[in-house]
Amino acid sequence: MNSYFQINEQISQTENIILPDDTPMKNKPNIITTMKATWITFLPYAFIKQITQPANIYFIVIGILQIIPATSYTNGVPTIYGPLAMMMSISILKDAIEEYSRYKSDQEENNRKSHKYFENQFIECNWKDIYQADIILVMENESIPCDILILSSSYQGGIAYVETKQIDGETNLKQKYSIYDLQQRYHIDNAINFEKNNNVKFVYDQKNPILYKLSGTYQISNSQVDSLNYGNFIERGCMLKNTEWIIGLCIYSGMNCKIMLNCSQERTKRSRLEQYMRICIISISISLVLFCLMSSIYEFIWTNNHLNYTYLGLIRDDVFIDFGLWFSLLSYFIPISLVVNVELVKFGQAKMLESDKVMPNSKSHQSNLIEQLGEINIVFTDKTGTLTKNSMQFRELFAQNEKEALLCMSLCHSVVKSKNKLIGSSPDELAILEYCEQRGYIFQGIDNNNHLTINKTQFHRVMNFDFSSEKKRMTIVVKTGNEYVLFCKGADEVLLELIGECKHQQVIHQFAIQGYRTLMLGRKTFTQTQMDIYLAEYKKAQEDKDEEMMNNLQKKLELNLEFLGITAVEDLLADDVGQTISDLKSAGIKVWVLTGDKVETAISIGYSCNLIDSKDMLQVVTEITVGSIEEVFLHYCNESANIALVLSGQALTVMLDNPQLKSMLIKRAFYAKVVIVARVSPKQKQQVVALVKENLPKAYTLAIGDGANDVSMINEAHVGVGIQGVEGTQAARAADFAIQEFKHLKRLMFYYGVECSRRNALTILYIFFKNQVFITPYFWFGFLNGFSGQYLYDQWLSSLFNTVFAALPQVLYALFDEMHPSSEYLQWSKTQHNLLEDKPDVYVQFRQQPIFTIIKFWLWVFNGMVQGLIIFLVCTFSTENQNMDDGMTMEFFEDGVFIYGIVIILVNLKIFTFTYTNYNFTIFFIVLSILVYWLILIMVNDHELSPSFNFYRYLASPQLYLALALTFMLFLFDLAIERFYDFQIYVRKPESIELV
Amino acid sequence: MSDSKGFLHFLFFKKWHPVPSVGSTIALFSIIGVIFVALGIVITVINNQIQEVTIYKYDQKCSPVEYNKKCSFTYKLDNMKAPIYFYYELENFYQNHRRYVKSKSSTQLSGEEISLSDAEKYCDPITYNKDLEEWQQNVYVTEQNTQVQKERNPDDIASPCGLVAKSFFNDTYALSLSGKNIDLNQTGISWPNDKGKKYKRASDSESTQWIDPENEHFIVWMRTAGLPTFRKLWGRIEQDIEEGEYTFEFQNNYNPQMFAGAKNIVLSTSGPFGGKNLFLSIAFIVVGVIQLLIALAFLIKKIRAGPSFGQKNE
Repeated sequence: MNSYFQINEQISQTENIILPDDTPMKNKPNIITTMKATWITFLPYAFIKQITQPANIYFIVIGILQIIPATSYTNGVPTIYGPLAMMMSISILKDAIEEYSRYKSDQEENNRKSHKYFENQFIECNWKDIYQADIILVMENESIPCDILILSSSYQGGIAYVETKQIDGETNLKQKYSIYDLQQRYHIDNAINFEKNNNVKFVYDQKNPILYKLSGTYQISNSQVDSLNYGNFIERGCMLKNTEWIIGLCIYSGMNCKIMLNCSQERTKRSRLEQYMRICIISISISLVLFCLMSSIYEFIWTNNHLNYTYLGLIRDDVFIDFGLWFSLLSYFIPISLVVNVELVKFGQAKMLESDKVMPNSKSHQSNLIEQLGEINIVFTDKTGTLTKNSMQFRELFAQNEKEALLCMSLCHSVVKSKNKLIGSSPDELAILEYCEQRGYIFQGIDNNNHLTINKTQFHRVMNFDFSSEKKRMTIVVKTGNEYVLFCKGADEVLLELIGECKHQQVIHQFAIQGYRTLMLGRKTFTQTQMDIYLAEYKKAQEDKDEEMMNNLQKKLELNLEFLGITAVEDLLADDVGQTISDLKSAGIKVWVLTGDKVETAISIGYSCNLIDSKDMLQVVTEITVGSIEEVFLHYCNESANIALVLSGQALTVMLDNPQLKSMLIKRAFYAKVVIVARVSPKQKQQVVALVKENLPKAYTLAIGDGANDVSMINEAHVGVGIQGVEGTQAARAADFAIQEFKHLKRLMFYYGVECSRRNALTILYIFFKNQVFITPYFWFGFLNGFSGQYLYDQWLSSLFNTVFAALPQVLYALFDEMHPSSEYLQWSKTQHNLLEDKPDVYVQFRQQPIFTIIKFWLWVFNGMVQGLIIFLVCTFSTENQNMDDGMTMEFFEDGVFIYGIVIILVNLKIFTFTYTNYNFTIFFIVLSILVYWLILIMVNDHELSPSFNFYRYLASPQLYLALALTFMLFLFDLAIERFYDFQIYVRKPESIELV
Repeated sequence: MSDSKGFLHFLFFKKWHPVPSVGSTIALFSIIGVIFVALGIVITVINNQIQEVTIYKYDQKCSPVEYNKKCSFTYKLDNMKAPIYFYYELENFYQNHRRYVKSKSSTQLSGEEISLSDAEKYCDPITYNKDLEEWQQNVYVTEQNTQVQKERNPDDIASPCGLVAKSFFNDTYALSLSGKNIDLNQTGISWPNDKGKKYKRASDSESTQWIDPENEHFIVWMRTAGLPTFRKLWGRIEQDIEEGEYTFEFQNNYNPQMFAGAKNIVLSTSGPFGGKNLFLSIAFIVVGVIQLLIALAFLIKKIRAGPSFGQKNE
């Protein structure tokens, strides 16, 4: 995402458009396509993608070993290609579904409506019918279909207001303006003459992904060349506001738009489980090689020692061929269904999440990360639009002289009124003015002679000092009658200084605790003479461009202000934010707020959403020099756990550049209960997340935000969550998961995260386990036959193990099991809250004692090997050399059929040991999986392909049932261990140490 | 059951959410443990009623030990109840070795002709008559296990071919008490589906095959055993026998030096669970005891840890 910020980079290449000759550039349509292949190339593309997967290459090699006669135990038939083809088809099908959903969302975007200039008039058209160099018309509240230069706007001065929420998440309006010389030429009233009258050449940067930057030139006919700048440019996806219409020239279309060039990065995030799974696959491959080496060397030595056993027809063996044979025999060490199974299950889980009715409009773009939601310990959150609704409400006015206070509020602001609408960049001021209107102080606007009108009274504005973040106040002087009145509105700490003594600090404190944004109002009157002198002085300073003097004069003017009142505006918190935050905290999750807003506001929101307790010690670092920051840090030497650390973006920049301060910061921040970083840029948000990831390898981060300014942090964090407003936003699209409101984070993490991480971990462990149980009897059998590599199970039946006999139940488990069922029946689309959502302790438990660790993995694999051994021993010794039926004894293939049958029974039963919720149909499929094996045996009983067979007599042998009963102990042992573990689960208190 | 959902919905989608408790777990393991121990005791009792006699290395009982000769010895047997199964047992014979197991042609054994390439593929290294043992090269062994001399072309495909067939165990036995023959029934010793289906004589069996594939001893041999020490049924004694010195007469054909092992005779009676099986009786008792110990462990843990053990905070 670096491209966002390379504002200083120069683009050397340019493109140009000459109007009207170039209209339209048919080769550059405004079509976006995020599909990875076309309909025709999809199949080859998907197929090549499949056969180049490392896992699939492995199985293709196994198949080749099965074809080569020397290493084949299947008579040269690559039986593994059956299940492999099935697994690959499932993957391809899944890809196709995803491709189709991309196609649909592209279609939706491409078919949005706009207007383009065509044969001397504007006609309605789809976005996809616009081409580069087309002239388009955008009406108020419409989205901009492509990157445009503004040619003209409905305002005389060529001003246009746009909302850039899609680009940077900011909801205030940005002023843009048309190209000065073109405003009249391309005015909508002249539409009929666009082509006739105008000949303009535009030269501008070649397409590039750098936002917030555009440079170029234009030239009308052969007159002087003038420059274009970013103010003339609007990005695709912005929305036109408070402006009736604009006419623009499409300069980048479709995939060439800056925003699209920014989106093109492929994400390669992996969950912890996936990383561990990779380690496990590699380590089990090594163990497979070791097993094969051992077996083949044993075989080699045994063969050479027994060459005199002529009845065996032994010949001197090639140890490499033995190795290949054992490799193809034990290839089940790496389960063929693993990757597809896990993918499929996560796909289903994601679809369930998306259809959840409790958190509507949820989206999952990276279903592979779903389990990571259950193992988060740091949450980075944006403030505006995420914690808050970004809608200001006037709450209270505390005033001694209410009339004057209201006058001050309705006069001292930078809002303009156009067509009976208030337009301003500060939502606070808008909220204040709305309140004034309610109270009967209706601001009517300001005319060109600096006359402000309230109701019907005119006030002449003599002086105006605008708000700036350094001055933190706005001051105006108006003339009423013979009197001059100064009104001042600003941050309380500044105004308190100007007022001197004030008895109302208690009120301010009260408001702040309630999380209100407070402003203080002040007033002062002057006589005509006082003012005249002052104005003269100020005029001189202005002429001298002496800024310091001007500032001093402002201060002098404002000195000894008279206290008027305090306003309280509330940035409404999003629903249930407080509860969500405190639940996150009790789950041992640290919440860091990264906001572009002011430090004070961030702190007040921190209080109001339970992030900061009144007991917590606030440490605010806003200094901007190394020395002073050090001093502050030393001042707050107390490293207790109840620290709420507040940093400003500038202080952060300084600290990140200084290694010593950086390490101090890291230490301090990781012990602090809460960290708030205010006034940060999108890049800094990303830097903070990266800093945490770098320095805390055990930290699993989640970033949540709603605007495009959060995209970089969303991409950087282990899991990115986007808040999806009513309109789909950039953040929600870039995020791995999108939810509608902050409060849904709880359900997302505590329910979906915990459940999916539990189920997916167990599914993976189980898949390895069942393949071990299945295949290790081959190895143990080796001890009885000189490791000759003899197989036990019928080769056709054994290729069905992972696809038929032990396939479906584990998928159903991973999709439907619930620790606390939320309803009596199966629900695909959930409609009820789950108990887990209110159990942060369960979240802590699963994060502290994760189900999938490397040790647990080996325990499961080892358990599988031991169970394979026990099944093999029990079956062999209870049937071999036994009088099975009227004195007859068994062939070992019959024994193999029996061992295989018991393996199928046990691995299917095993699912019960870790399932919390069974359904009738999941039980049915477990039973069916077991039965289908025996049914197939009965069906093929008399057939040529049948391995033996005297099935009915064989089923009548009591030894089989005794052996079955004996092996049932394995299930019981697993159950005992599982329950013992379950019964003594205890939860440790979450500590910050956990991270370090 | 929810009325609005209907019966089918109930049938398929009803949830079961059992919450296991310590008590139920202790009960479960105690009951199963008791059942296992009881079953183990029953099996042990039954085992003790089954009589099994093994005559080790019976070929060594003749001196000098000579092969392809008849030989006899006497052995004292107790009273035994019919049916009594007569087994031969081989030690250290790897009928489960990969090279050995695969060296046969199912097609040929089911009575069909096979091509030379198939013979080479499936029966390697025993493809031709000349690859067979000397005694097999010019003989036809009938269904009744008698040998008829036949001229054979050494370059014809051996039928049956392969290592398993070649190593056919061809000792024969007879049993008598004081000169009175005890009848050894040698029919019905193979699995019923095998004879005439998987093992079927070729149309011109006598001239092309060296043994009739429907010879039941042959079928029994072809069913390869899983353990390197195995026994195979040779015949049944369908009458009770009394205590006495029995004469075992046998045709000593098979040389155990070939596999560096031994050949034994086993006589066994039968109970409701088949023959004597020490493994099952021990295993059931051991597993039963382990289950009881598990139940005990839960109980101790419950007493020691108090109510916190197994309390779900629902």
